Amino acid sequence: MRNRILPLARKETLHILRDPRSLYLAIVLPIVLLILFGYAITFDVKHIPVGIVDQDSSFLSRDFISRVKGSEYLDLIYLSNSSAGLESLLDKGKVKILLVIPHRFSRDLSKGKDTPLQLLIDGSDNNTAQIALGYISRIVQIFSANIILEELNKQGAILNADIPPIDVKPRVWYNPDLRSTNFIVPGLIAVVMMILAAMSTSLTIAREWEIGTMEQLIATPAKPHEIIIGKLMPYFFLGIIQISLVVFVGTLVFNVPLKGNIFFLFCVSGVFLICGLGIGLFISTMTRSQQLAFMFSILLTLLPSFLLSGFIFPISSMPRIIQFVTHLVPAKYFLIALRGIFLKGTGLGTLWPEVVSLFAFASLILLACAKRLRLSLE
Amino acid sequence: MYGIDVNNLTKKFGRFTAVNQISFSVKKGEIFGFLGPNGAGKSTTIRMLCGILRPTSGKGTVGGFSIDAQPEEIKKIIGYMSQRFTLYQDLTVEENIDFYGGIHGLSLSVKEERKKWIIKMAGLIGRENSLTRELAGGWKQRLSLGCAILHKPEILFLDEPTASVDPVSRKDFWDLIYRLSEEGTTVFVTSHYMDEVERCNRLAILYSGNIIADGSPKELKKKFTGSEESTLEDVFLSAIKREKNEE
Repeated sequence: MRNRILPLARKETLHILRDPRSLYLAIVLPIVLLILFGYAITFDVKHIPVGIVDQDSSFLSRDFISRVKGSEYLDLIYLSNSSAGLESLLDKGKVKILLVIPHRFSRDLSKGKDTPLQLLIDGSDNNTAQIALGYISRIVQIFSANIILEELNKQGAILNADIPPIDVKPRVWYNPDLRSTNFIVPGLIAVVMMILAAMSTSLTIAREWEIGTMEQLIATPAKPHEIIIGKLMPYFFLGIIQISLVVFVGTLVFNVPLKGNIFFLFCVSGVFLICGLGIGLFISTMTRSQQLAFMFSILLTLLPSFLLSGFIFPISSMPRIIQFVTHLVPAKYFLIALRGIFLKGTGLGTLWPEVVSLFAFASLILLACAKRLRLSLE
Repeated sequence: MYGIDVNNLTKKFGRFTAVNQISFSVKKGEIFGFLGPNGAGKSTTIRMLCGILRPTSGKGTVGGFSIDAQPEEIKKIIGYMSQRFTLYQDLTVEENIDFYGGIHGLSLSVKEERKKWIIKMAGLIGRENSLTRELAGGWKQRLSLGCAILHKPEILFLDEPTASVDPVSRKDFWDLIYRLSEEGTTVFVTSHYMDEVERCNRLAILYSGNIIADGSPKELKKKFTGSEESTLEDVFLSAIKREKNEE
């Protein structure tokens, strides 16, 4: 059989090269998207603005305040002795947390009485509120533990009694600093690549329908699978370039460690690329207008990759039926693979289920494309 | 031996009947004209004959292959030029020819030889590296034809090939079609230019999916206007008038 794939691929390459604007976009867009999202999306909550009303003005209250000041997670931006006009601070969002140290604070503490500390918190951003609450609680716990220790010390209890305290020594594996960037950037690569891949091919067949060359192509002896492979090949190479760029930016700009094998990373990425390109091509066979194809490709890749891949919301906490749907989202498998390769340095031995799933998806979507193309004029 | 032989061919899109039980045959080497107003079903018929649209019912062969069962075989022996200009505008003249040559699986030496011939035929010598979008209408048309006959098809389908071309280019174009027919190519051409279909060996007039008249231009003139001196336009109008009266 004579090879018709090569002339098709060559023609498609010429289309890409003759359209410098799209080519330029294809190179710049992945970098811009990664940097933009990479800085915008962070789960680390730092520098939470805090206000404190110190009605006590004692040695103990100042000790407490200095502990709040010392935390890198909290920024003390307001300190006052009176509670006048405080609510407006919270209302306007100038502070997220407002602590009121009552005037009996020091006296009650030294008498060993229950000592209340008022904590007002802006719950409109529940995620930040919860994290901020955690930080404050820890400060309060350490503070009160110190006071108890001191009291016990004064009574000579510690010196006499041998109380072995339980000492938890947490060691965080894979991402020891718990930087959310390390977690987000690999996921972001999956999302960005999915969108770009689907977008690039979603227009190719729709465009040929619009200008009328598709009908001409179908009237030639070219087979559907030859048309599909010929169209995919140049976009595949473009995609590999894009992946190199985002991996480069991810490791250099965001300092995400790449612990695994880079060759394996590119192999998995290649299979994932075929999934994305296949989705785009499939959309392209469904509609004969470029505009519709473009919209569908955004809709069918952006939302599932963001919401159903485990990128932002853990799949384990989704309702069962939604969990089932996530099996159809290739970004889910790629995301697991990427996080594994980047952060844990895992290889095929661990990630084979994801690789097999990606292979299966890629084959199915290409078969579906060929079938659609065969029926397309009916 | 017929180049095209069609029996009761029908195509329905939902409830709409685009082509209604048409039958005709085209001899080898003949130029067969398919006349009809817009929407009569000319393009639908051509698409079925080219194997890119499956008929709802009826039988037909093109070059001896069944349009129902062997569309892939048909695609190898036909050339098709659809109604719209269908070359890649962002490719050069040479790249377009190379592409269609590759798709038809021409060997390198054959392709080079055919390329030279087509560039000469289309009057594009010296413009091999021009982008197709920069060519004037008549040139584009001849290049389209060139790409459709690159692989020396036995049967050539032309769907309104001269719809957007000036009269001089149209004449050149028909000269080319004549030459192809003399060399043995069967040509099936649709048009609504009455003056140019005058040059066909035989004609069929399609109206609302039905063939309402067929024969050589002379026969048709005699039958519908009683005079060989009348124009095909008269034939066309009176045939349609008759058909409307029967309804």
